[in-house]
Amino acid sequence: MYFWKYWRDTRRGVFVYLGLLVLLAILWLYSMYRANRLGHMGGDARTLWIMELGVTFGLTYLCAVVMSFVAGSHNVGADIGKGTGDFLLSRPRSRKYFVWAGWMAGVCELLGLLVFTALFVFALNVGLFGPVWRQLPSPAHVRGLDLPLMGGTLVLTAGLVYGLTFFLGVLWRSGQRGVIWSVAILFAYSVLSALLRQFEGISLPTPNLVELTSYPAGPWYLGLRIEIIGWTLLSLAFPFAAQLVLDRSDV
Amino acid sequence: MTEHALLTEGLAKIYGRTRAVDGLDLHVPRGSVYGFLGRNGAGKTTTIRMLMGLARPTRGSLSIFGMSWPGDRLRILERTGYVAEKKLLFEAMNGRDLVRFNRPLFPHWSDEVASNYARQLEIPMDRPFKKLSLGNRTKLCLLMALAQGADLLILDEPTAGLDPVVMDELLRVLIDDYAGEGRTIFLSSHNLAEVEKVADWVGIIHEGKLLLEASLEGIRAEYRRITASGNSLPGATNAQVISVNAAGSAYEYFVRNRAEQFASGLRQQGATILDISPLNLEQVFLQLVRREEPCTSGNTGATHAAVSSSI
Amino acid sequence: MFAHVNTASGVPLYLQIEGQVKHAVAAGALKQGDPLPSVRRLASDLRVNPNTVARAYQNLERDGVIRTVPGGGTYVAEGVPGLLKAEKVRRLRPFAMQLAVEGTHLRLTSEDILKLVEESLVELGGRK
Repeated sequence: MYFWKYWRDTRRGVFVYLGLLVLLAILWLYSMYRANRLGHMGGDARTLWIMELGVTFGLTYLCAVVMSFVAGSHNVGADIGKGTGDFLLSRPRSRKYFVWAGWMAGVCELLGLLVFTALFVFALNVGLFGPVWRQLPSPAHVRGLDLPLMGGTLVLTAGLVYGLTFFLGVLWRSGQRGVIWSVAILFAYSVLSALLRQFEGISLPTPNLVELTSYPAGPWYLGLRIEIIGWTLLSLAFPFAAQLVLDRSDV
Repeated sequence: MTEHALLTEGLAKIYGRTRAVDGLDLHVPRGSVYGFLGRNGAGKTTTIRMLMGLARPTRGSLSIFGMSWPGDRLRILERTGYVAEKKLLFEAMNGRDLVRFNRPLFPHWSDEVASNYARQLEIPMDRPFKKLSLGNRTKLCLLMALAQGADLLILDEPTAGLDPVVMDELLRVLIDDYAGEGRTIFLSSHNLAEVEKVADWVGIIHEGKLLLEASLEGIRAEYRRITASGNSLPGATNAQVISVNAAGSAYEYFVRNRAEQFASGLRQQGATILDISPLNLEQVFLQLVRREEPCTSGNTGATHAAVSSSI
Repeated sequence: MFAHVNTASGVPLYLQIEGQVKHAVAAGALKQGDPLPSVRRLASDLRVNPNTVARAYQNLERDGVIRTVPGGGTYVAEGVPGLLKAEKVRRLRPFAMQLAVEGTHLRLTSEDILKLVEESLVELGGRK
C-alpha cells in the first residue's frame, strides 16, 4: 500500500527522468550523425569497449547520484511536513512500517532506474558500435575497468546518498531540507576528500570503489571487503536512525 | 464488553511551562454522540491527538474500548476513524486513489458505504486532492472515516470553516450513518447549536481542564436561569451558582441544579421570582467559561463582588 | 413536512418534535393511517440525535397519537387517544395556565384571551 503511494508520489519524477534520458540519447545520436561518425567509429575493439563502458558507467553514476537525492526527498518526514502526517500515522501500521516500507520503495525504484539507465545506454552503444566485447578475451576485467567494482560503486553510492537524504528528510520533516543538507554534507565531504588527497596524499573512505582502488589507500583502509560491508551497513543505518527519530517524537 | 468507548484518567500534556492538557478525565459512553467543546487553544486538538497516538501523553492514561497505547496500537487504529484538524490528504491523489490506498488497511472497509456517501455528498472523486475546496476536502476526509467500518469516530472540528450548506450536508450524512450503525462519535466543535442537536453527552474543556461533563438531558433538566428582583440579594457564586448578573433592577442567577430550591430560598429573603427558564448549551458554555475568565471584556456584572441593593 | 427544530429557545427538542406531530394531526395535515418517517430518516432530516426522535416517538405512542407496526413503520393512530376526559383536561391545564399568565402580563381582558383561543381553533379547523 505504501509502495503504491510512493510510486504515485514519484511517478512524475520518473517520467521526467526517462524523458530526459531519451532526449539525451536523441541528441547524442544526432551529434554523432552530424559528425558522420555513425557506423564509422575508428579504433580497436578494446578502445571501443572501454569507451562504451565508460559512457554507461558515467551516465549511470550521474543517475545514481541525482536520482538518489530525488528519491530520498520522498519520505514519511516529508509527509508530516506537508501536513498529511496526522492522516498517515493514524492508519493501523506501526511507525516503523512507514519508515522501512518507504525506504524500501525508494530502494526498489532507484535500482530499477539504475538498471534501466545502464541497459539503455549500453544498448545504445551496442546498437551503434556492435557487440564489441565478443572480440575480447575477458570483457569484465579490461585494464582500468572492472565491471563488478563499477556495479558495486553505483549501488553503494546510491545507498549512501539516498540513505542520508532520507534520514535528514525524516529528521527535518521536509524533503527539500533533507536534500539541501544532504547535498551540502556530501559536497563538503567530497571537497575535503579531494583536497586531502591533493595536498596530503590521504584518501578518505568513499563508496566509489573504482576511485578507491585507483589511489593509494589511506591508513584506515582495511581491505575492499570491509569497505563494502561498511558502506552497506551505513546505508542501512540511515533508515534505522530515521526509525528511532520517528518513534520518539510527536507527530 | 466495556461500557465506555473512551476513557481517560488524569490525561495531561505539558510542554515546558505550558499545560496544554491538565488532568483530563473523560468518560465517553459506548454508542453515544459526545461533543467536546472548548475555546480556541483550550486543549481540544492536543487531547484528540493523544487519543490517536500522534502525541504522547506526559501523564495519565487513556483507553479505547478497554485497549491502550502502545500495546494495542494496531487494533485501536483499526477500530477508530479519524478526521484531523487539518483536513489534509495526499495532494496528488484523487478520491478514488485515496479509497484504494485506505481499503487494504481496514478489515471492515466498505466500498459500498464509500460510494454511497460520495454520491450523497457529491464529492468529485476524480479530482486531485489539491484541487478540492475545503468543503470537498472535509467531505472526503469524513468519507474515509465512515467507510472504514470503525466503532469509534474521532472528529476534530469537522465543520470548521465550512459554509452552512456544506455543514448541513455533513451533519445529515453523519447522523444518517450514526442512526444506521450506532458507532460512538466523539467530536470537537465550536458550533454549539449543532452540537446541542446531535450530541447526547458533552464535555467542556478550558485551559486544559474539564469544566463540565454531563448528558445534555441532564443539563436541560437541571441548569436554569433564575431572574429575581428584590433587596439585598446574594451576589456570590458557589458550587451551585455559576454566575450572577445584574440585569437592570433584577438579578440573573445561573444555577447548575435544584433551581426550585434556590428560588424558594430567594423568596424567603423577600425576593420576587420573575422567571425561571432553561438554558441552551451555548448559554451554559458561556456562563461556565466566563466564570473562569472574570476579566475578559463582554462579561456583564460582577461575579464575585457582593451585590448592593438598588431597588 | 417537519420544520427544523432549534435549540435557541431552550425548549427540549423532543418536545418540539412531538408538538409538530400533534399539530399536524390536529390540523389534518397528517391523517389516521398516514406513515411517519423512520427514526433514522427523521433524525437525519432534522439533523438531530436519533435518540431525541426515538424519545419523541415513544411519547407520541404512549399518548396514543401514533403507533408502531411490528414489522417496522410508524403510522398515525386511528381514532382519538384512548384517554379519559379528565386525563385530557389534566394534560391541557398547564397550557391554559401559560396562556392565562401571558395574557395577564400583557394586561389583556378575559374576553380578549378567550377570543384568541376561539380564533386559533377556527384557524386550525379551517385547515382540515
